[in-house]
Amino acid sequence: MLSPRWRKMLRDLWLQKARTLLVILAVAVGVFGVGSVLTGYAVLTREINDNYLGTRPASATLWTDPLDGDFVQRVRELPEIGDAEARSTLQGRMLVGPNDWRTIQLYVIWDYDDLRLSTFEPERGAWPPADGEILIERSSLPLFGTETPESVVVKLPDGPRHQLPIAGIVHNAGLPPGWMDATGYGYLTPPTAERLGASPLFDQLKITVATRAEDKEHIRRTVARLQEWLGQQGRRVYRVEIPTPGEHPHYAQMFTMMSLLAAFGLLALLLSGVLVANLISALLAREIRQIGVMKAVGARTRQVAGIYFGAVTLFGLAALGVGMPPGLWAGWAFVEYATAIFNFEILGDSVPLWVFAVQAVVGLLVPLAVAAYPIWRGSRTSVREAISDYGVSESGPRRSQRIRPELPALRLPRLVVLSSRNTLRRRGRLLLTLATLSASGAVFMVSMNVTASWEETLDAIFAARRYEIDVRLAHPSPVAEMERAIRQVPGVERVESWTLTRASRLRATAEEGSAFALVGAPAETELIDLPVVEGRWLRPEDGNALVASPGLLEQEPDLAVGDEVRLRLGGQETVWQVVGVVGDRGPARAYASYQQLSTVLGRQGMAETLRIATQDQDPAAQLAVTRGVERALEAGGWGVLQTMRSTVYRQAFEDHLAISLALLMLMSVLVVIVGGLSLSATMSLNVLERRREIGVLRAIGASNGKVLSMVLIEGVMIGVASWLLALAPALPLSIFVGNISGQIFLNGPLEFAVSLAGIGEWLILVVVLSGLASLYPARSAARLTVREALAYE
Amino acid sequence: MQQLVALHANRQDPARGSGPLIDLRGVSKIYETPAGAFTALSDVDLGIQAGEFVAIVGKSGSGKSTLLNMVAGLDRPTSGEVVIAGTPVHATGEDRLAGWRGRTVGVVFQFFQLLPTLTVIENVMLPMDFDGRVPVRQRPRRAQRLLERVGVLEQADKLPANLSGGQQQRAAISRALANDPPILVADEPTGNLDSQTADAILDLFADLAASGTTVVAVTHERDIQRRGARTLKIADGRLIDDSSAAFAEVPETMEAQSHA
Repeated sequence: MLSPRWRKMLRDLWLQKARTLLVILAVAVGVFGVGSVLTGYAVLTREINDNYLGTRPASATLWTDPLDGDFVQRVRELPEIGDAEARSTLQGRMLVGPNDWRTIQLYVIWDYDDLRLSTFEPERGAWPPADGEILIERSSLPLFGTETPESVVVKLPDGPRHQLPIAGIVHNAGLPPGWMDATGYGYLTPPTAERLGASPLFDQLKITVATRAEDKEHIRRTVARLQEWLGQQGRRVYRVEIPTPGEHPHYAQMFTMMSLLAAFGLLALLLSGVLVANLISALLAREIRQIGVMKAVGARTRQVAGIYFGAVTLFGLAALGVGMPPGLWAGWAFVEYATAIFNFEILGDSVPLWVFAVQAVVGLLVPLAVAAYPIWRGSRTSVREAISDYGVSESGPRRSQRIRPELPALRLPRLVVLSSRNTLRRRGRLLLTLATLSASGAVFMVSMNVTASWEETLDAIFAARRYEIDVRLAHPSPVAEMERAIRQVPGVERVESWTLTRASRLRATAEEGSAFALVGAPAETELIDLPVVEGRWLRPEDGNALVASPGLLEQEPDLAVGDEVRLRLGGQETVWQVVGVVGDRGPARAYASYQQLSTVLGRQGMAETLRIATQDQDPAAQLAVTRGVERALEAGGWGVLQTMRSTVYRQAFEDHLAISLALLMLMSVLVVIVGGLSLSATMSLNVLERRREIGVLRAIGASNGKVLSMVLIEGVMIGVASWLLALAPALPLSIFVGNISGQIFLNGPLEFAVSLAGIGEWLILVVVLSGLASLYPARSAARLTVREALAYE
Repeated sequence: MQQLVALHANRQDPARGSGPLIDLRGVSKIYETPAGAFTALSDVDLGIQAGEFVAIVGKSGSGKSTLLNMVAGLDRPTSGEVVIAGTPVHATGEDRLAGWRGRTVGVVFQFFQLLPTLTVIENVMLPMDFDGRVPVRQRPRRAQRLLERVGVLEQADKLPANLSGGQQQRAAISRALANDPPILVADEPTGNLDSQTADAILDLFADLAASGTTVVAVTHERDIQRRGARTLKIADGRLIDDSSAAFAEVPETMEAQSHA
């Protein structure tokens, strides 16, 4: 049988159902926030690495002159090499609808039963594919519009169209998802590649190092020695890629995204902690007289405190029950979202026990910790203080609570003056409430500002690129003829021929930097207009001048305007001068004049890239012009590798962003809920403490409406004050979150934009929220009769 | 009422027969307020023997509740000594005093102060729960006997809100007696009751005093003197009269003036 004190606790919890539910919800929000983030973090970090390491990723990939099986075997036998495999990659186009071509990467595999590096797994269908058949990577399937495509029409730039039966579906956890990049991935045998018109030779050498596979420097040195050895064997190396060892290519992005979510989870936890502290204070304020009675009949401080600590423990247990399952669900939902984005597969469906342990600590210890002070203070109240707590302060406000009578010097209605003075009476509690509500507002405005910044950034990106269609050709082709042909296509406004190549910096130490894109654009181009950050843009008279992007400066931090830089491009070494930096987002890139670059590359008058501006910018017009351009180029015998329309590109980008921004908004809604609950708790507490005052007001003639308005005005005042306070942190936080978000998707910060609509919407929302949060306490106050209020014991 | 007397006859009171059970020497109490220091009690000397029935009377704000709080160990003096049942209350910490109070002093309030979410019998068992000396199994039976003795056993399983004022005050007295304390203090115990119920409560106090419990009550009831109570009159924080006989002979008109 329970003793009376525990029966009292349980009955109090039951009788104050609304308050009990509020505390449980407040703790559950924290448990949910932490649970969802930790579940996602624990599962993803485990799975992303297990998946990636399961593919036996290469330490480095070298693009070389063609290799054969015997030569690869000799590489394997080198003492510093762990394993080696030769591959070849072809770029072609595949037909996904009438006249609708998409890029497809075709990987030619030597021996499907002897995959050594960068492996992939069969999911369904045949393995290996027969000659004349193709295997499709599963993340490309959305491009086909069906989960079970039977065949695909593939065309290499110089080859004929071929319809290849799809023999099976494979999964390659090392590839970014095809649907995201609008690119298909296919796997062929060498004879199939030959049938499509490609060379059956292998020009990619994938290797792992024999020792210290986690040491990037060691890999770099080993590759340098391998390059030297290959040179001795008469094979040139055109390009080298060394990824971060043991780390999925998207791990950093995922980690950044998780960190952002973790920050929101922690914020929700912090705010729910503040709310719990406020609610427990409210609970104890209501109980103070009963505490006095219990102490009068012999209860010691620890016995009284035990009752309330018991209640908080029960709140915690209930909150774990309420918060853990949805937290687990949300964590797995995020895992599924991430697996789709990163194209990997969940190998184990367990959640580590420590995730539950941390949630249990959050659910039980955090409320106990934040409630400790109010409980300790309340339990120590002496009988005399408790029993003589008359509600109307006997001795007036304490020094810290004194109100300057001249404060509302404006000619405000008496009710507003009273409300404004009431607002300032409990300053500690007011500050906590303002902090919670301001944090909610700041998070909401951050979400809106980041969304606006993305819009602004995308607008800037697409405004700088004044072309609607980007065409890549299989080979450098004659500029004059192509441009003449394209100008004939109806709807074409302007066409420019560009050239693109990969370049890498040769440092003074003879070390070679990572590759970057060198873009040759006409110096007097009208199809790109990037803002010059430093130095200047290209001029027609420029020689080997280049303009760098911030991405390149990040990759080569010692590079500055005016510096000379030695580059390896097109198999030769040349010296260039950096003349400027432009505000161009994305990976490392540099611009040179088309005229100069094509000369250096030895292909004057030829181009493999066409940038076309259309007369109409709507998607239908762009598609029509694209088809016309493709027909014109094919008619001229110029093989098209890829076409990309700006509308499609922007849409794909916005679709991916939408999920992340929705996630951000969801988190802000969570924080806003906590903020609203917090204000409601504060207002209930204020009304409770002022019952006698309210009784006095009623006795001297205050109507229901006046009492209701007084409490509502006070709540709304707190809401509006929190709105003002939220503005200051919202701006730097928006920049911070925008930078992280930009870094994930664009390798750079966003154009910062303030969403005035967001600021206005939050003002409206916070006024409505404050009104709603104060409504229940206000109605309770308005319903008090004079007798009840003054006889309150 | 005989049974109640019998229950108290079993009590062991080590303080009995060795000087006053309640001994106040030079007690002053000063409250600091924003308006300045307020002297609630000034240099009060008072001795109350075990088994006495004492009434404290005085005007509103005279210091009678403060004096009662001293006697009950609910408050401590600014200066002076308060020794109750051998315990120096003035030198004992708040928390130790709570446990001491549970064993030594039963408190009855004007507004009953029963915990609203506990039934009447649970309210009576609560002090036993905190004190812990009465074995758990014996508590319900003991609480029933206490309720029976004050005449509200039928209400044992009801919540306080369902009882009349008089019934609630009887239940509160049962609660005050739960741990068999030698002292019962009551702050205007009849102030919220009709005259008939008030009479019954005062009779109950007189019986308790007769059975050996020291009863100290703040009251406005004139009838208390007729029950043989020693009356302490207090004004401006000072004891100005300490005589049951003298106060009993005060004409009604004079007393009315003193309460005006």
